Amino acid sequence: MSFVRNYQAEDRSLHSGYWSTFDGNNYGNNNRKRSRNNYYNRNCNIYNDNRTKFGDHFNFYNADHANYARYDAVRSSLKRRKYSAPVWQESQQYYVPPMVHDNIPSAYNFQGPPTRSDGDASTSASCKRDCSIFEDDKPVFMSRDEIDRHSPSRKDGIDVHHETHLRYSYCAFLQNLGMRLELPQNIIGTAMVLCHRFFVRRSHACHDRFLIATAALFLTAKSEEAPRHLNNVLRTSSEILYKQDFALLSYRFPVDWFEQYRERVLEAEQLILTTLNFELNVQHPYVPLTSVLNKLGLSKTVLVNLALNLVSEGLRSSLWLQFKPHHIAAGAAYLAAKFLNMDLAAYQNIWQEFQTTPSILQDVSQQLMELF
Amino acid sequence: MEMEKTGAGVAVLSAKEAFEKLEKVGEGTYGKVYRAREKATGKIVALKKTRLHEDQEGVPPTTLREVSILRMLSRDPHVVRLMDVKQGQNKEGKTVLYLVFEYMDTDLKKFIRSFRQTGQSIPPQTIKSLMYQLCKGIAFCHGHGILHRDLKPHNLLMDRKTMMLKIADLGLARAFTVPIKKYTHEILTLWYRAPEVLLGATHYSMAVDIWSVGCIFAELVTKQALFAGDSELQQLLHIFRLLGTPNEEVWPGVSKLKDWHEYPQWNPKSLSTAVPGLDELGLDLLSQMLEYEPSKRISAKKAMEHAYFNDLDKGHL
Repeated sequence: MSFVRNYQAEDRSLHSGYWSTFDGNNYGNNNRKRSRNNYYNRNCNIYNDNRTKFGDHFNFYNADHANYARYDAVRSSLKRRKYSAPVWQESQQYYVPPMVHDNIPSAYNFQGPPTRSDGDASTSASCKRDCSIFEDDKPVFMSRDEIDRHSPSRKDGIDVHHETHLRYSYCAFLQNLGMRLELPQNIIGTAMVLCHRFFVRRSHACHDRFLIATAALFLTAKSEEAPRHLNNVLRTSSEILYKQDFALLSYRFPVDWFEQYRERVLEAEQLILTTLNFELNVQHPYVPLTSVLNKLGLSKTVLVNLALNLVSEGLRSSLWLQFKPHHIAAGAAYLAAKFLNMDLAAYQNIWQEFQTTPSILQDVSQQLMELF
Repeated sequence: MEMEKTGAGVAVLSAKEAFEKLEKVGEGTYGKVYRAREKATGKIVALKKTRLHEDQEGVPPTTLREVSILRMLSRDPHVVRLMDVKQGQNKEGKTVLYLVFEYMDTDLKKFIRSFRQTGQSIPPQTIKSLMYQLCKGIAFCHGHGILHRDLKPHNLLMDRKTMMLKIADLGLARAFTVPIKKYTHEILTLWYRAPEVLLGATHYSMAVDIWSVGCIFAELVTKQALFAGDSELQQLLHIFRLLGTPNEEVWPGVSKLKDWHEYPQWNPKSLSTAVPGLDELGLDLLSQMLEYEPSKRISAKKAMEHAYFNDLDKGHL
């Protein structure tokens, strides 16, 4: 049973949304050695006129480019589609309507949303010592409203609905890439959450989400002891984005495209690390979910499988930025029970076991519902 | 003057501008460690330089793990404090990462060596204090779901004046979740490696760190490594000679471990023969740290509550 909905544009020529990874700025002179800082300081206007220099190399759009110049033109055509195929199947298209942007990278002046911190973790010992930029780090959660209102993408004209669509598309891409690289689901999930954290701090308009996603998965695999060779990651990523065998791509692009792509991913890796301040730890709801349901004797039931699937689906949302793992677990269990017409209230203290409240339960399950 | 831009638009000094290197104090897998002075404050720090593109695979996994784990653990007074991460460039123009740590003037390996060279014993109360701090630091790591996996005297930093001990070098550390996953057993310096790791166990937990703590405890008393093997087999044989060759009775499941073979049969000896200077309570604690069966090995938290530490003034620790 799949609960996946894939967002696509109707009656449009779809493209990979991968334009900015090989944007014209980088091909003005193929012999030019780009400085490593180029990625950070690059003009935000990724649809630069330089692209015309390369004609067919970058002719990703079958339709007139002008049709996509503003997101408003296509917003109404974004429509939910139901798929019964397995989660994030490979036929998934990654569509982004190009946008006109200001030239100022909003990421550099974005101060970040107000945050709500979870519990005071400071210790008396640490107060006596000099401050460190990592001192008293505790998980910081934001409300959905804060995420929606303060996203840096807003300043670049990307509304909530469109940003949600962008989030779904890079999650679909990550799921596909992770599965092809034979990475475990928790690593794929962690990469998704790192991307969510990244785009809460930096605008979609200034950063190619597929480049960031590729770097995030490469990074996560390393930090979680399942490293994949960068060349494998790059090859697989290119094949997904261009829906072509890697061998054929060499004929489509300039001679050094792969080397440049490698550089861009390595730069993106560093950008992710600095943007997230090296916060790579992600707690997933799988453990609290299974352990609580196990405690209640529900470990071998359809409920567990459905709840786990809901958690995996939830990775597309911003829930991981809003709630603790056990709260997401509770919401998934609650919603799964609802789908199955089960009354979990019959199991005494179940919500206390999840350390949750009715309002949190309602909020999480409501947001999970919205995914379908 | 080159400056880097942060996400919030604040210009920050690069490593080169912010610090003055004073001397090289060590070398790790991925780069050198320097004693340096922060120009703005005059504060002495340790700079751990990481080469990013040695193997064309970006930021090394050890650096990623070390930084992300230290972000969680740096609050504890017994874990070395990561103060900052700076980017810089080397002579070839390649990007390098500098981890900025608080500076500690020695480590436990050097500390033990200094006593060995003078022929003096480390005072029992000093051993007790250092062991308590080590257990406290490890308990903090384990409480946050982190295994160190490479505990050895060289990775335990010290301040000579205050006798403060701090756990360092978390490059091999990792977060664990329950149930314990399969982990690589290509970890840990041989001398401090737990028998389950030597025998190829891929499911292991906090107990691997406790074994290392036990080995360090004995070394503090005798000033010699307890089990100094030069290969995995020799390491196992050293352990078996002292603690007896394990069997299904003392360690259920041992014969099913990947690298289990038929080994020479030794009977267990008394720990006091190997660690003669240690009192009865100390020997009791040590024996619980060196239990064969990982699930029976004492936890760091329980070790802190052991009677061996009863007469220790824990107020300042």
